[in-house]
Amino acid sequence: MHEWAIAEAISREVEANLEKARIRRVKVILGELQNIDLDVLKQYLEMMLRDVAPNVEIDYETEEAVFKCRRCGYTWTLADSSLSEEEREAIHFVPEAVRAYVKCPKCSSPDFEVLRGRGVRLIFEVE
Amino acid sequence: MKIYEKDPRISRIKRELSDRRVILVTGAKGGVGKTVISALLGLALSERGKKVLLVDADVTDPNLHVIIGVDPEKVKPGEAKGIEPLTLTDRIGYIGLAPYTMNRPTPLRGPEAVDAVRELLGALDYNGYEYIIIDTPPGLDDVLMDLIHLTGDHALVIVVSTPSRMSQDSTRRFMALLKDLNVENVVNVVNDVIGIGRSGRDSFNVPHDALLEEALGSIKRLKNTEAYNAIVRLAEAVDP
Ligand SMILES: Nc1ncnc2c1ncn2[C@@H]1O[C@H](COP(=O)(O)OP(=O)(O)OP(=O)(O)O)[C@@H](O)[C@H]1O
Ligand SMILES: [Mg+2]
Ligand SMILES: [Zn+2]
Repeated sequence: MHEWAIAEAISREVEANLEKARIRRVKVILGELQNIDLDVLKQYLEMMLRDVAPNVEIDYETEEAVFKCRRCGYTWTLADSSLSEEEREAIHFVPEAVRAYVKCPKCSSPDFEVLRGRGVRLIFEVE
Repeated sequence: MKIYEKDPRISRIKRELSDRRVILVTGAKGGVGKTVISALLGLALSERGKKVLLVDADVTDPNLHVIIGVDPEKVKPGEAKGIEPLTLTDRIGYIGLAPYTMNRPTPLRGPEAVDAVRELLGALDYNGYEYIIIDTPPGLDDVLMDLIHLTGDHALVIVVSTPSRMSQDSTRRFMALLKDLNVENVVNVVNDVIGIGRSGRDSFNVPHDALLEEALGSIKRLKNTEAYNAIVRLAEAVDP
């Protein structure tokens, strides 16, 4: 599973920051667009962090994907868009691929912004 | 207490790329042969027994797949401990955005293109690849800047130009920028795309090759071109 690489990336980042500061908590924000398997990610990440950062508390949060058209300004969500299984899979690997499959429902422009809910973000809480 | 945000991909990209040979194929102008040279250099290094990954970082206008004969509408990269590059031979891998977009137009603003490239590099399974050759978009592009920030301290930056005075003018500025960014490992390749007939003195020269067009898409035919022969010598210099 490609979630393994994502967990490894998070774990590396936690490790790198641990050298610089006392991390109390890390919030892992998962964008709805990337559709990451939370249970799988959690399992890998807990395993990886057990040794490197046993005292860091990890929270998970999902963020709804919202788009805004750059031509007409219309705002809509991922739930408003219909995607095939294959298209979802492609977007799962690289969220930017969404521009090949989703267009503004009002004016059909593929030039839109992902306002939030794209991919993985980390929020560090340090002492 | 302090709160800050971090991009989880950066640490993994830096770590994975730090002990591999990274080659950024760049150029101040479009159409000077960056993509052709990326592919030919990959082939030449693989002939030297090296395992090579070709990365198409020109995410809004990807072409690399054309040269190496990959149909992005038919193939899908796999996934195991990360994204698995497509394997062309047992020593050449390819990854890009095109297989994920079915080769459809994908308008990406600068920071979005950077995101796409970071996503690919951040989630790749690098297993065994010794050379990572990255084909970049033309000019002083956002993706190129990001790649230089991520790898510029150890990457070899190949700057492709043509013998045209306009290309040389652009290349002087481009080289000055690389110097300002503290990139030390730079090679200039002068590729005579349109057959001007001149070549550079302090550069690596690739002659005009009228038969290149016909060879596109076939690794076997590419290896019989004059352009490839020139790049074999570049590969010898890169991989002594
Ligand atoms: N030495 C050469 N002789 C003849 N044709 C060449 C040579 N090098 C490149 N070409 C041709 O020039 C065209 C542009 O090459 P290529 O796509 O590699 O340039 P590029 O710098 O990657 O372009 P872009 O900036 O659009 O990414 C292609 O059609 C290619 O086949
Ligand atoms: Mg190109
Ligand atoms: Zn619109």
